[in-house]
Amino acid sequence: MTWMLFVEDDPDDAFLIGRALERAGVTASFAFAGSAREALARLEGAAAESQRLPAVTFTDLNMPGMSGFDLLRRMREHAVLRVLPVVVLSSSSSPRDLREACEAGANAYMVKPVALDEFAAMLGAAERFWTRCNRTVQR
Amino acid sequence: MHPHCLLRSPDELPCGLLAVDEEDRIVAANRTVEALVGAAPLAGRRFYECLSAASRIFCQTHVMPLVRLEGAAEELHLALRRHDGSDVPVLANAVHRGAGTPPHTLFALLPAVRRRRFEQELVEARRAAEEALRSNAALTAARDRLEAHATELDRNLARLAQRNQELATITRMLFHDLGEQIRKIGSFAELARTDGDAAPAVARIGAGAARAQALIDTLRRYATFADEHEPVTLVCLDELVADAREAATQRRGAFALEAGALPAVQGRRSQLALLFEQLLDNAAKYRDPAQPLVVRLDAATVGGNAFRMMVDRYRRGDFVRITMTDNGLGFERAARPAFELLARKPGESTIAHVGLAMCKRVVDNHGGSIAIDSAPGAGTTVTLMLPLQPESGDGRLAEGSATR
Repeated sequence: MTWMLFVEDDPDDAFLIGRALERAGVTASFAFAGSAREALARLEGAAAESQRLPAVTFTDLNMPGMSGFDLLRRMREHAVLRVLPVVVLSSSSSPRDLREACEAGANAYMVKPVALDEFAAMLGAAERFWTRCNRTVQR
Repeated sequence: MHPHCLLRSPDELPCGLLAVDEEDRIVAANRTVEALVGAAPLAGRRFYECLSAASRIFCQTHVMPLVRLEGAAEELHLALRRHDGSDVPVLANAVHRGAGTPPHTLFALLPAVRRRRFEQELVEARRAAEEALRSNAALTAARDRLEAHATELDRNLARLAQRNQELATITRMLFHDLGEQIRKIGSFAELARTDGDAAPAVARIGAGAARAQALIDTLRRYATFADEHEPVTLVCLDELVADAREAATQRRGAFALEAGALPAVQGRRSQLALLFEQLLDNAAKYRDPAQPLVVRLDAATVGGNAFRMMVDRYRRGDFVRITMTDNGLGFERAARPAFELLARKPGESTIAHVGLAMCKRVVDNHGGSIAIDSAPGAGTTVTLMLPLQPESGDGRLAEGSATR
């Protein structure tokens, strides 16, 4: 079963993401992690027990404790998690954040839009692309 | 030969002898004088013709009247006019003899060519020494001015760096944190418009607007808390810490404070009070529930560089170094520096975030520094460096009177 992981510490944004996915008609299941540390523990646990890994992981950047940048770097150092696609989903449009995210190993960078339909379209497109890629790799 | 016979030949004496009658005419001169003047015989010539112009006037107006009146004159500095027109400096003693012989004045003349040269050299040396002293004083003054300008420049650089940092912080809060609230309000507004049940979205709009307001309040507090015009006074840190401890105890519950004697520093009282209130409040707030909170305060006077921005310059300044250690929860280094103004996350108090940013501003305002070291489960150590002497010269931290 294909699933997606969202790393988001802000309940408002988690709520908006849920509604945007609904609108986009995304059929894949998804899960939320409230912090980068929780997400890393979950991913490392899944990798260690050979459970199904998410087709794509979306992460926020600015989170207390471990940041989205730190999560990306830790994933790229991991033997299994290093190949997982990660999309940064941030409210920051700062070129510095974009550059640092790319250097840390992000596959794509999305700025959270105001319009919910736009958000739904972006998440839907990202989900379809990375799920398809993932299936191709697995075949 | 009787010893006195040795002195009977005036021509062989190593000094000139010259007798001048009441008409100022030379009546006798030994060979030493004639050799000095380069003319012989001198007897019968006018005495003044054998003198330089200045010595002639000096003798006419001073020496001869004095000798005739007092009977003698000593250590006269005269110049003989040589036959070729050049002058020979001489040192002269004169006596007036009137008894037993026709009255006359007897001069004993010692050539003083070398002495004059030595005197001139001495005068030159003194003039050079005075000139060097003047130059040295000018150099010292220039160096002092340069040092004062460097201090002023460093202070202005530090102030500009601080202002830039504050402005960057405020800009980031406005663009990023406030922008994020506005984005969410926009998204929820759209949701409220398009969803059948608008109530949850409207509730989140309200919460977002409240957070935006809280952010603006935070910014206002950060931007305006420090009164630039508050006078600098001698502030007793012991009293501030006691007050801060009482406030933290009332707010967060009792805790143990082990504090050595703290010195008094020159500073702005209300800002320093806020500094210790925030630090002790944070310690009390993030205490480890598994053990009683103990906060330890130590102070020491240490030397440090009074220059803050110009790394290639050094001037020793006295600082009080205060370390505050607690056995609380500690924290992990956040993605953002500990002293940056942080946006309020839902459900969190703004006070700790604003507090540390304000602590840094207070310390910066006093020309000091603050560092924080912490790890989860390992407690927190805050190190403050505050200058004992205030900055002066720009009115920012000028000399103030002691009030406490």
